[in-house]
Amino acid sequence: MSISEKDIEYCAQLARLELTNQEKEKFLEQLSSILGYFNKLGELKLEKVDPIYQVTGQENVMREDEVKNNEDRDNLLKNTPEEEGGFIRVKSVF
Amino acid sequence: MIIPMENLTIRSASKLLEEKKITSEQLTRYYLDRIERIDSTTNAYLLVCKEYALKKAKEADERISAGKRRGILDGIPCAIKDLIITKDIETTAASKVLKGFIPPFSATVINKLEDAGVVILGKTNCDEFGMGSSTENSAYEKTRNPWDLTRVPGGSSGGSAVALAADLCVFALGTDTGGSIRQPAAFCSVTGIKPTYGRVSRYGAIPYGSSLDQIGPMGKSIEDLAIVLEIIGGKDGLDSTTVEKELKVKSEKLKVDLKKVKLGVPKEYFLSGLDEDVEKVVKEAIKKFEKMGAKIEGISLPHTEYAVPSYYLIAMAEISSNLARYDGVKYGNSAYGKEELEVKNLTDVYFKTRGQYLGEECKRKIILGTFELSAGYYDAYYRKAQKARNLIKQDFDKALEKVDAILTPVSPVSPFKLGEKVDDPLSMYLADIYTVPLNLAGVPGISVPAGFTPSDLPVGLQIIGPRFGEEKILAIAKEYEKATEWHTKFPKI
Repeated sequence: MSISEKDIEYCAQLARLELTNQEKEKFLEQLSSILGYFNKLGELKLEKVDPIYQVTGQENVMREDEVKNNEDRDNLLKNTPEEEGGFIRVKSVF
Repeated sequence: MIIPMENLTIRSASKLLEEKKITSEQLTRYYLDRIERIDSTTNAYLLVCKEYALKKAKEADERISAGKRRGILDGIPCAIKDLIITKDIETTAASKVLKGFIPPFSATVINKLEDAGVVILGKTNCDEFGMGSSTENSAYEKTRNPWDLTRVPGGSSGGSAVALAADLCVFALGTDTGGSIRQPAAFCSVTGIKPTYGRVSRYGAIPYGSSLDQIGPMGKSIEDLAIVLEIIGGKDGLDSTTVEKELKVKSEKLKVDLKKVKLGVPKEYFLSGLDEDVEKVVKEAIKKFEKMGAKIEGISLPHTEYAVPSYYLIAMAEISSNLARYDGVKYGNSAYGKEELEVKNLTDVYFKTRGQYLGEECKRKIILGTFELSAGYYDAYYRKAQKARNLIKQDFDKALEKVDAILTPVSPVSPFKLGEKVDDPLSMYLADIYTVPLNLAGVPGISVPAGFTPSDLPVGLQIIGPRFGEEKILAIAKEYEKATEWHTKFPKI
């Protein structure tokens, strides 16, 4: 399995990432070779092996559903590019 | 009388402070001066917070004069990798997308260290978002190895490693997702530990691979690692992957009888691909352990050759998700208001912010990560990688039942030249072969200086332990350190 130019464009779309034509060309070569190397995993017999997603062995770490609010809004919004009246301002979605 | 302050460890600096032979302010100024004189060559620091550091140093001095010193770390200057957020101190992750970002709160580890009284000197350079093994992926500066300024310091915690080797701080913090503490420590002849996954809170560590990342200490001695790890480790309600486990052995008591220790040497880590000069140094180090009485046993970690593909498939999937938050809307650098980018609508904000301000390696990983998680490919790549991960973890579980710790090289190569691997990402990934398995398995690993190649380039020895076996491997490393002099050598800079 490998990656095509269409795949790269599709993924860039999904990831909301603008790529230049130069980047697409460069990536086509690099990503194909990287993916080619990853195909090595095909050598393993994995039917009877469980996947693992984390290594702590913990399950369902819970806490009480209480509101704990130590942060003040102004402080949290000081890095916001467009802010108005304590709200984050965005360009219209529709 | 001028007290020499060169190459101090936490222990030696603390002694001078206790005995009132120096003040924290003098020590802080010593480092600030050195940074000003030397760091334009090495570029270890992205940001130096001079006023803040002096303020903290003076506060420490007040406590010390009043007989109220908080402990061994009070008044000790340190460097923090710019992947860890520090309240009110710009944190960029070495990326343009966080240029000017001033965190409204600090990471848990920072709060813990500041409660202990440390003096933060500044933020060190790294590969963008932790992605890389040479610090060359930083969007800001090229950090140079002080042992040979034409070579890389390793990565991604290259800045922290250089700050230690060039004596620009007493200790430092790094992060390690696939070797990012251990490999730069090896390349710069300093020491570092990647703790067990779950030992140290990741709250405030800008995430790369959330099932792989750990924050860890880097320093000039093994004891320093233990001192810092005691403070920064522990369960944190803000990071549900942390586990309740204390570092039982106090740093002063790091001792082990090597005659009762069995050390495993995995054959898969000594195949072709390992540089001759590096192999020689590592084998000498293993012989040294044997001379000191430890039993050396050949072992096998049979799935080692699958660690790099497994690791990168997992890391890419996780980072493609973790980078989604940089959208130019909530915080960080944005395409908003940048006339030249012609932002017409919300979609443009996303595409252009990310297109303009994320670096090349970020984009590669986002594209591949998105690809492997997309419909039709998930089973072929990501799920396979998670199964291979299980096999790699089991290799370690089985081996560490028979031996106390495992000895390996840290890197198959010695520090390479700047620019040598930037155009060949796969070659860069393959150089991580000895470090990534530990992140997959969640086990701890130390890199300790083990000597030099004939061209005077540093080589590190990796000591791997069972999960939560940090005290064991720190003790083993300490015995090696006591019997050798590598940790007393520093580059002339």
